[in-house]
Amino acid sequence: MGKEYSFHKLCLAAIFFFDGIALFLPFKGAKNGDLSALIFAIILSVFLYFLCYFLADKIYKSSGGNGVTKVSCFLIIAFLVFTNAVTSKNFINFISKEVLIKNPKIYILILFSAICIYMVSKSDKVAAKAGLLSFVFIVIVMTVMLIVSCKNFEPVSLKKLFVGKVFKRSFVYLYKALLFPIAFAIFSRFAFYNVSVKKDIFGFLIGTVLILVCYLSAALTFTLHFASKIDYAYPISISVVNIGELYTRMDGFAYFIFFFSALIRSSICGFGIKMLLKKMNIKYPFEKTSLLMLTSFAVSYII
Amino acid sequence: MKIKLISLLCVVSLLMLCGCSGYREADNGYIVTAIGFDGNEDFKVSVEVVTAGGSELRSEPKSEVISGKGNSPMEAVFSLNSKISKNLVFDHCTALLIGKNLSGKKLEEVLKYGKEIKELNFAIDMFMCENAEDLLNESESVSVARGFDIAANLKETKSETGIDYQNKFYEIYMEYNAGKSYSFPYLKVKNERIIIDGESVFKENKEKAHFTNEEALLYSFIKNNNNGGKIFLGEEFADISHSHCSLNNGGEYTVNLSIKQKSKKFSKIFKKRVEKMLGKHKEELNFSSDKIKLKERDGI
Repeated sequence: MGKEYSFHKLCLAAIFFFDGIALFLPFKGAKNGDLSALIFAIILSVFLYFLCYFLADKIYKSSGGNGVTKVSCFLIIAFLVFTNAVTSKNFINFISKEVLIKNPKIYILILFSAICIYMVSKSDKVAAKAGLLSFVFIVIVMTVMLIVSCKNFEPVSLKKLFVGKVFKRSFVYLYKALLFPIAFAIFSRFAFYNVSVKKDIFGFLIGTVLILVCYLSAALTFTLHFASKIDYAYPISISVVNIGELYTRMDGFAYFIFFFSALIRSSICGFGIKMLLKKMNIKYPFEKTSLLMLTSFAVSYII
Repeated sequence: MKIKLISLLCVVSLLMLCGCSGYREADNGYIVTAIGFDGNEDFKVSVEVVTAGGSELRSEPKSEVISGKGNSPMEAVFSLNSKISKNLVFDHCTALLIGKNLSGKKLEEVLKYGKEIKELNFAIDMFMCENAEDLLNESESVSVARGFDIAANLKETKSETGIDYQNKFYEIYMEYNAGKSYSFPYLKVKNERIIIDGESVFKENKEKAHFTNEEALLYSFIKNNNNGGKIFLGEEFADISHSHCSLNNGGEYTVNLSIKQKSKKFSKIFKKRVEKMLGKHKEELNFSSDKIKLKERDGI
């Protein structure tokens, strides 16, 4: 894709980054210095991204028949399958616990996987456009919710959020953020070959802002200690917001935010697999991608 | 292009259908408007439910109170469920009542139950009363249900007096979780109507103080939980637009009151009333001082 898709790349980077971690913020056992730990983990994962982008660049420029390239591709595909499994597992668990409580998970999984595979069957431009639309929706909703939930915020000591045991805690966050780099690096290098890597950085920056909005909304509404004990604190922090008498329990918006971001993340994993299979000149890349994605969805259901 | 747009619309519409899978007909369930917990040895749960009129045309909805018992809140609700033929729908539950005899570990269990159960909204208002089951049974509803009456009563009290009781479930759970004090508006039945009659302050799951309405108002100034309202203290009246309380270096509370009436000054009685309240509850509620400085200024 050409430079006219540079903003789309930024949007995709932001959403991909955001989805890996936002649903669970703040993580269980949050103590003093938790916010610093999160920011530190984000910075580390951005450095990790450059390593992954370098690897993706090498694979992009090499010939597909090369033995080393093939092995690397297979390993990366395995990791993309794993990333997709974790993404769908997190999303399906969220939906089955919070939204469709009495419905069997399998129905939700079937629907989600069908949409993802349909998205992967299209060209990468479709994913780019879907990413742009999702990004606009997510940013608008999160901004509005942040503004209206300000009145519910508890006064909190910023020193407690920033000062504490940062290093050890950051690895807890890094584990979740680590899943990000290679998956997006492949898609970014292969699909957006004419667009500079700077857009990825801007995308991460925006993704970081969205992550911090989630974190602070939950931590300031419920206090950090309590928010870390609640599953899915951000949607619940939205559910206690009310605008006037009529607009209450608006956690439905959060469900859509996480649906779009999980869909984009899963689709990017699928596109990454498809692009690597094409690179290795494997026949029927889409069919094999679908098979691999179905495997990862099945794994996500079982684990 | 048109076909693509129509296809997209169909796909989006299909996504919406997921919500239909858990649909409920109005008369297939009991709509819970208030839930109360009592208990000395075991838990008793009482729910006020509203049922749609049934097969008769233009029939009014009816409310009734059902109870259940168990060794835990979950068990009590389960035993209640076993007595009825329809499901309980908690989406419209506006009041969570705690009976006065429910304290200590039992109150803790109710708070934990409220946190775990998905059906109850985190922002549900909590109240204290002598006995939740008796309160629901002995009162008559003005609107469709007592739960809605209680919510309306709370809203009216908040807007008139400006007291922000901080009694939403998540607000109380946060304070309890942090080991701080938390409070419930106190309900009682008067002339078959449910009214708010003061405030109960808890700490470590035990009642530390019980305030009258007047004391609750003064307490809200000290805690900075007052958004402005009308104060009636004996013969004194003031319309407060804003209040702020701080502890000064001299170990004395300073209460800044912005009063809408020009050049209004409270008499010494107001100050003495606050000091009396502070002195009475100083130890249980860890007030830093029982001395107060009053600063009145013209509000907007």
